[in-house]
Amino acid sequence: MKTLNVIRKIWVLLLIVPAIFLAGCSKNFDVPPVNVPMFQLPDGASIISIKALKNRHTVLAQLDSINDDVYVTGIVVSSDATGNIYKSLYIQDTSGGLLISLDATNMYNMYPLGQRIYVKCKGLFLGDYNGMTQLGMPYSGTIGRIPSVLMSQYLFLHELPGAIPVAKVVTIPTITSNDLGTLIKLENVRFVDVAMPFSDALVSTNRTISDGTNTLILRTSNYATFRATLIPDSTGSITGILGVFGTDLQLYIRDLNDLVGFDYSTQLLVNESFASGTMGTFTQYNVTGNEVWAASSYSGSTFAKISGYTAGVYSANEDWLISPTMNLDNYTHEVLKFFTMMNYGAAGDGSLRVYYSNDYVSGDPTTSTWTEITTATLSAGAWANTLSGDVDLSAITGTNVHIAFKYTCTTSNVATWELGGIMVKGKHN
Amino acid sequence: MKKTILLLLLVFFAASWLSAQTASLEGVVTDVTGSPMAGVSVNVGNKTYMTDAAGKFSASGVSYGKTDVTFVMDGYETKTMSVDVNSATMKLGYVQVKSTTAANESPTETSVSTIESEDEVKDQYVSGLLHSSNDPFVSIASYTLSAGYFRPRGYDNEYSEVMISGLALNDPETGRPNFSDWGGLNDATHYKESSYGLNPTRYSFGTLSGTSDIDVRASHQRKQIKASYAFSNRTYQHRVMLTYSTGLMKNNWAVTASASTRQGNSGYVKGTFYDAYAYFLSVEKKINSKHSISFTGFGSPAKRGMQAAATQEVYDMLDDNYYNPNWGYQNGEVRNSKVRNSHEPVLLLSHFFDISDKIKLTTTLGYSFGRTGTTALNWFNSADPRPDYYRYLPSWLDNMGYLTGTPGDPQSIAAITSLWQNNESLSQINWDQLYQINYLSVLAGKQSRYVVEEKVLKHSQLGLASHLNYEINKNIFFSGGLNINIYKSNNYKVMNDMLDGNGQTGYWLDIDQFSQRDFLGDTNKAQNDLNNPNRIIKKGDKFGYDYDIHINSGNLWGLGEFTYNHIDFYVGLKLTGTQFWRVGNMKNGRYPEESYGASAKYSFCDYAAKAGVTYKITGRHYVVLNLAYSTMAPSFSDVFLAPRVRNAVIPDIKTRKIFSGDLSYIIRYPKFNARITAFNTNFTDDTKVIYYYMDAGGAVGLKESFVNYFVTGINKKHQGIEIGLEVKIIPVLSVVAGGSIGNYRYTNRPNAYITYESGLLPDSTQKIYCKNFFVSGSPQTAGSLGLKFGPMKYWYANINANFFGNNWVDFAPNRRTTDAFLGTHLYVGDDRLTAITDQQKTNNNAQFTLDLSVSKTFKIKNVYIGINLSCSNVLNNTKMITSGYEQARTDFYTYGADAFPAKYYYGFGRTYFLMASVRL
Repeated sequence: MKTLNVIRKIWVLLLIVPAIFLAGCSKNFDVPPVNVPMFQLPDGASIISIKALKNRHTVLAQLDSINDDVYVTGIVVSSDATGNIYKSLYIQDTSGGLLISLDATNMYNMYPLGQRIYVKCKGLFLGDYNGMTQLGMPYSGTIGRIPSVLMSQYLFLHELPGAIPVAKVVTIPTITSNDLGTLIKLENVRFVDVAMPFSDALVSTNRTISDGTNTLILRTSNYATFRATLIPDSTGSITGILGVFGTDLQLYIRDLNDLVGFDYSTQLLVNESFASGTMGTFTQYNVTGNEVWAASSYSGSTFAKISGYTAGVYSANEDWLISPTMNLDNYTHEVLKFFTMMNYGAAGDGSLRVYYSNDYVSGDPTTSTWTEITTATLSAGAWANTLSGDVDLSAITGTNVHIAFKYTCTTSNVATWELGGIMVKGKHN
Repeated sequence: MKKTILLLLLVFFAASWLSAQTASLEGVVTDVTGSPMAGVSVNVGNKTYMTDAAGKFSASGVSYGKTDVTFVMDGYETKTMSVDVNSATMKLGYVQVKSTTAANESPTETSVSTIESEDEVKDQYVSGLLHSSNDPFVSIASYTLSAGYFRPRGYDNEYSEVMISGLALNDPETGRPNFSDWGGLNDATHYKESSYGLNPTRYSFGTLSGTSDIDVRASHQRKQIKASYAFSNRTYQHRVMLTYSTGLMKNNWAVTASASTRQGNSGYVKGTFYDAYAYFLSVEKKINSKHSISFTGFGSPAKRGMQAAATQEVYDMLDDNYYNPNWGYQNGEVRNSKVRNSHEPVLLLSHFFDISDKIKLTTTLGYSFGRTGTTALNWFNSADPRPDYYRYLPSWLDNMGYLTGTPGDPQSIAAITSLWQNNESLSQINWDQLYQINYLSVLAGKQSRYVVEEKVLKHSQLGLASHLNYEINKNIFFSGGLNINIYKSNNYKVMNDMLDGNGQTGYWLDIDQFSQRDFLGDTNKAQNDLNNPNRIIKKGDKFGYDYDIHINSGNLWGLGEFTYNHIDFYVGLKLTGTQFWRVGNMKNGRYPEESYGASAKYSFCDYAAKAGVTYKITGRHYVVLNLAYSTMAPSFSDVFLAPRVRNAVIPDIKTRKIFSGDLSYIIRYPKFNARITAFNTNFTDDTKVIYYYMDAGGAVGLKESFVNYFVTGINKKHQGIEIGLEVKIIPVLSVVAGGSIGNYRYTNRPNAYITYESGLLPDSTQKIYCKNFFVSGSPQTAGSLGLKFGPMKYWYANINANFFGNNWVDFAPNRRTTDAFLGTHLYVGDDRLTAITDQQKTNNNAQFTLDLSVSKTFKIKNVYIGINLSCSNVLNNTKMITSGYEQARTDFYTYGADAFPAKYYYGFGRTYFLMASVRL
């Protein structure tokens, strides 16, 4: 019986002891309170304006260290959420805008739009990359990025994010160097490169903004999440951050919300640059002669090329370069664009003509009905690179439309044509 | 091979006609009070027998002449008798063994560390061979060398088997025993019958490395009430364990119950908290002299904060080889991001049927189920929250100079180093900041940026094992059995913590952000489940992936042991069938046609044959030869290309082949006991799979993406020598020594099959140039020399000096390919080339440790009070790397090994384990 009592006691212990520990180690963590950061300027430090700071960098490509205990403060106007702005943070105060170069991505979480920050400048450096002044740290003798781990030592948050400064409305000719690094807004402008992607897949790309007279570069990173979106038509306003590269001013948008009033319905029906080294989406057809249209390139430019001359022999030729089929009933406001470069022929000699057809299917084009398009501007010779201008195709309808370029030559009058950048755009119904 | 089997069968039958002069030994083992002792290992020559519930043992086929009989039982003094066998039946009568209470409590059982691979948490390593043995090498390997991650013969744990009443408890997915399933149940599970290496057993065909059968029968447990408390600075701080065993009662019932808890706010490594419980109940009813029925149920719910490896740069910078990047402060409290939470109960129903004196049938039906989850941080379009992300380290400033080879700005490097050393909000996870960013993100109407997810494996398994032991005559003993196993696991991620609050509720979108980036504009590709596109995930929801693994297997085995005067031999054969398949519960956007529903079923037929012979030169000198050949189905993860997202498998599925042999010379004297063994094992067509994030760095033809890398057709050779000896200087003092010198190598250039998990690029193959590389995972040379004192007035003491050497870093196969040098201008002789391709040792020099343990038992009337102190690594060697692995991520900018160097785990420095126990 004595043993039984002991047993009972032990079993009670068995239940109690774990219960004691239960409270000990399995933690439920409290939610940390929202932190409203309040920056306090250290004793002996002073605040200067962004403009005053940038003015310390006067000699291009020079690296200027900041050795006195100065701070600048501004509100974040950039966001790297789409990846178009990369490893850069732009803040502005009433005097100007500042590019801070940081070795970090996804900064929009830590430094969101509208966030006021104070920047401790002592220990940092001013420099420029092709004329664009920036705050950073040395890298290989020039200005480089502040390592991400050190961000917290130089950038201080103040309060929670608030309103984003209203972009200054400017016109292209009135932009000044004071606007660099700040948010500006252009109204009633349009894009020249409608229906082209904002950026090529492999390299950052410049597109052109036009107010009808003056132009400004819109630069988009190939890493931007919207880079494949086609540039919209019509006029609207564009908000972005102004930068400079050498003598070229460049505008960076943060995301597509920075474009207001544009029309995205314009699409490309045909877009052939012959960059693949083949005829691409086009087909060539040799009616007579020894030569054919073939893909070629010169100094980075790609095109289709033809000449009736080969190795000292001139042959009479008739060669067609035919587009893929287009259903123009699905579109309105169709426009054809291309460029030509010609040599060894006479201006307007008719050795290259542009046509369209409603009944061509495939193979020999001479059995189909073709109507000539005469409104395109063609190269006048001496390799003059000539843009066709916007060739209006809106009068053409049909579900099976082809565009064709016909080259002809005799044995005595033999021109060489280079033809590229062929685009047909239209508004989708 | 067929000829070999035929030959073995012929031998089997021919042998039954032979006869020779052997004897049998019988006896009853009791404690000092005269109570019968069940489960005592009785070693006769080189064979081991177990005492039954009545303490009886019977050893057959004993050669005439002098032989030693050794009685081994945890908690008791080992006793050796020298017997002159001179008649057919030798009756030893009653043999008393003395209790030591807690003296033999294994100190190493608690020195468990954790190993993690880059993306997948491997199971913790525990020696699978913790068992009593009178083989000095096996004791040393189990108790002393396992702290240095020594694995006998370099074998992976999947080659060892742990069973209860004949039912294997190995995980069908990994093949490894799930030691954590019975963690904290040391008292209830410490009776084991074990065999080392290829030696035959009577409850299983056996494996390469060894087999243990845990005896949980309540009638076999010592009648006792035991309570113990342990205090340690290893993985936990406190352990309380209570065990109650009735022994076989007069009403023919026996009950054992045990419960424990292990608790600690922080282990030796900071952030590794421990919150574990365990329960065990075993009830046995002896129906009559022929039948006993036993029910056993146990479980070990445990929550643990995990450790992660880091690079030497970080360890050196912080002057701390135990830096753990997994934790950080939240509201001033230490929180670990990687928490393992598991509870996998096991229920067993066993039937013990003594058909006759000579025939016994043991049948066990088992069911296990439960859940293991491991948490981790996940983040969406935001900065990497892991403090030791390579771009946050000072070395990044040097490594980023890839374009010009410019070293980083020294002042910046110094500033970063100083921050690392002085600012824990930077050197550890900054939970408060993660909350703040989430708060701002949700405030702006966006999804949460940082969450804690849990990768869950939920399994259920039904197993049936039955084996028959038949003593056909004095010379022949037959064992055979069958096993059937039906297994299913459900694998998924669940949202564990949204890291929100303060009046807000965050959300998460079930899309794959890498696919969103890689397949820009394709809204379907990024979906994790096309059946529920753009699903909003809240706390507790499944997301990411969800699939089932089904593995069914069965085997049939038989083994005959033949015992004659000078020669013993055995032959055995096993046939195994395995079938597995996948069932997808989500329709993945990358693989809409091959992710949802069941895959094809993959079936494998395997066989194994083994044979061995013992030549008894005298009753004290033996020569033993073992040979085994087996084929082994590949594991599920060796076959399925990307089981999280698709049903597809590698094109060329290979079955592993293992050929192994060992030759031993064994000496057994009362005062001198030694074994020397030479072994050789060839693995053919093995597979190794790694998963990693490829950093293409703009290299031609590569892209940044998750990559699954299957190295198939690997051939390896494990050869070596192991020695163990024990010399009794005086009755209470012995010298124990043991060690192994191994040479475990890759012997060919296998092929790798590489698949992008997202399908971004087509699958490809590579040749891996790893011939003659060393197999990692264990020191290839290790040894221990010790003194064993006791018992003297219930005092015991051990001192062991250990050394570990030739431990190799697990190499990244993708660094040993021609692709690793794609587009480089590195030529033979360039140091950068050898830095990438050469395999590294964990430590260049052999490492030494010293272990001490002392125990004392007090006996007050019928109460035993034991105190046990063990101190490991007394000299505090904190420089011993126990394991390391190269990061598979490769630097395609500099083609150097610096940007992604190897990560290491260090063996603990000085640790202690202090235990007090009371037993009555």
